[in-house]
Amino acid sequence: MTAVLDRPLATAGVIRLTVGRLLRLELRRNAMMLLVPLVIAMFWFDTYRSSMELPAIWPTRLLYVQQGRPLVDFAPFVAGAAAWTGSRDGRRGTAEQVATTPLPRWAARLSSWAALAIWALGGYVVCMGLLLGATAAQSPTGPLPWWPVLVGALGVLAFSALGFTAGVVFPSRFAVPLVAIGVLLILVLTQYPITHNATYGLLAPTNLMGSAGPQAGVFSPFLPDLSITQLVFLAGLTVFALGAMGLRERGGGALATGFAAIVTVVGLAATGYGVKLAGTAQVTANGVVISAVHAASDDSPVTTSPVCQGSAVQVCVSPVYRSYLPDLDAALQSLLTEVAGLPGAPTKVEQVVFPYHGDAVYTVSSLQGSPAVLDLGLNIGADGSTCFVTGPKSSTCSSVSDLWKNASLVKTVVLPHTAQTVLDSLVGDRTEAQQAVVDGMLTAAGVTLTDPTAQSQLPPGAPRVFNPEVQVMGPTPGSAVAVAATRFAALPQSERYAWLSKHLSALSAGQISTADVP
Amino acid sequence: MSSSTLNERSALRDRAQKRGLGARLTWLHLVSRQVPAALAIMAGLAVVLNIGARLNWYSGDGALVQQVPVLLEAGAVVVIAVSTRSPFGEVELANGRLLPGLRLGTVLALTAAAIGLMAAGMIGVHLPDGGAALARNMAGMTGIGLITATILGGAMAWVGPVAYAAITEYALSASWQSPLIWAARPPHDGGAVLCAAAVFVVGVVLIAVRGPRNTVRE
Repeated sequence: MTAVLDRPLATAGVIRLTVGRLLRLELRRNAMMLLVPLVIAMFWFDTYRSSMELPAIWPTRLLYVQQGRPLVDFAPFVAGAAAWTGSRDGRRGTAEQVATTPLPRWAARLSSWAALAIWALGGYVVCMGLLLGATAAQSPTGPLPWWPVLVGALGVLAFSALGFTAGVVFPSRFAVPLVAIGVLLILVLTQYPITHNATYGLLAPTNLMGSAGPQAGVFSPFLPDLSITQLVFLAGLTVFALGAMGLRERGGGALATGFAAIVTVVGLAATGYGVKLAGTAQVTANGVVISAVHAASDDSPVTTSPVCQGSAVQVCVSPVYRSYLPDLDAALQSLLTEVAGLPGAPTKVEQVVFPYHGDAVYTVSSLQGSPAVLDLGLNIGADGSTCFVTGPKSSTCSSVSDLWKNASLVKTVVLPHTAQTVLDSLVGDRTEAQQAVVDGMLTAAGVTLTDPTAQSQLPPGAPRVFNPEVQVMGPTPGSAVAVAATRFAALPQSERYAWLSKHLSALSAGQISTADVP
Repeated sequence: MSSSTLNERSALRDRAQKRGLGARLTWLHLVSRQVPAALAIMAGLAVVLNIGARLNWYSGDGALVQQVPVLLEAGAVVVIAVSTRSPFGEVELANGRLLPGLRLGTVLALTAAAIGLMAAGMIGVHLPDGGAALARNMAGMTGIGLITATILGGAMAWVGPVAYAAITEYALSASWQSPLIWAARPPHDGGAVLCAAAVFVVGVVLIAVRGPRNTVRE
């Protein structure tokens, strides 16, 4: 009787021991082991180099991680190696032979998959460790967004499970490369507008709309809503793939099949729940909000003491962007000196979050409250490059990140749009006199007005200039507005300021003509 | 019947038998490399290429316009690369001197078939850079796949083209202009054509002369 009672325990023990031994064997012979140096090289080439070019601000440095780039480096090779391992019995024609062994095939295959997943995950941890370590050595500012790192790790697991099951189901020599290329294709397609919708498409960790951007967590807490949804979805896919693999086995008996069915259903349910959650997603300036997993505490802004600088009007930025303050202050002082103290003029400049998924390229600005505060969003830390006209028939190009380190380019990208916002609010642009005064003040502040009648200033073949925000259209040369604007800009600053102080209310009310503008 | 007539008939029979044997050997070689399945997969990829164009995957001016066709081309290329794997290993090497010729013929025929099928996939739709770029890209990537096969073995030959495709994806996003990333260059760029052709020739010569590496390792 005792022997009978002990039997199931002994069997379970033997299975555990065998699975453990098998795992050790698989760890020593796994295909992924050979590919780890390659994926590390791919990660270095793509994600690491690109990330290290971005400023040492945690959410900015991890912008490409937020966009799922490590997964693009890892997933094709992980899925391919997994399909190779999963198809082993089928390719070698040993499926029936090994099915007669005491160890259930599902358990044996899970051991193979686990070994592969350990190697793949180990490679991912090493790569992310290198990136985070190199960034930490540069004394970065800002909060570290961990969630996308976790999503990437689970993405590696999910693609390994899906690839492994694909290999089990299609044990052909062609299944392996097609799985690898298929995964790469899916990841590339989901990055771009094909699936660029703001709901279900966000389930892909590589969907660019899902990235909270380079300022994630700086002005308000990092929103983990989408990451949680992606984790649920990817975990569901992983469990589903592993369960479906168990359903194909015939050697484990009804109990094993039933258990595999339960695992499959659980995986499917989690995947479906992830899809359902994504369907309610809303893309906001602070990130993606999914109400079912949203914490209300994430809605309150991060409270930090801004760092300020400036004489006429204080220019304040988040301490995370402290190093950019001197250039920003220098870029705005010519404008702020012109308007400081006038009724309705900004008394302070405050940095706000830049809407990463909006249409603005460099800055957004608005005047708020009374006394007025100029809210300024700065696209610091974004990827990509941009070109500017620097003179007649010449242009210069720079990465968007680098331009914020160049004082003259900071002035080029911040001043025109911001000055127009302030002056339009202060003076208005309905009447010719208002337009003349605004144009005169823009010129005096150092903004180059574009001649509406002029042809392109660049020779054929010059870099394409994409800077709508830095071009302010001036008046038609020779018009009454142009003449008055030139006259007003030529005045000494003190005279301009004195005239504006006296006539601003009349000017705003439209009671002054261009002839009255000094 | 004279003896000379009998000899002629015997010689004709021998030649016919040899031709028959040659055709059978070629067919068996193609089957051992799963060439029929490879052709079917390539045809499927050509259909996907066509459907992608109809779904406007390659319209607009983003990097995606070039990235997706390159990936589909890479899909056909990895099939060629993996088809080099011999199921017989060293046993096959001990049989006859025809193997290099068979390998050469198979690879050239598969490459031509892949380019032809993918070009057929462009019928009725617009593909950025057209057929010339498609042929150049596929030839170059095939060379990479064949070189990988001689280094890592036929089973792992997909690793090279997949890695190259991933690098190309990055290069297209970053607007690289190196001729080594031929897909990033215009269709008639001499440097890119030269690079792709050189890699293809090296790959074909290596696979014909040396064959894919035989490995028992998983």
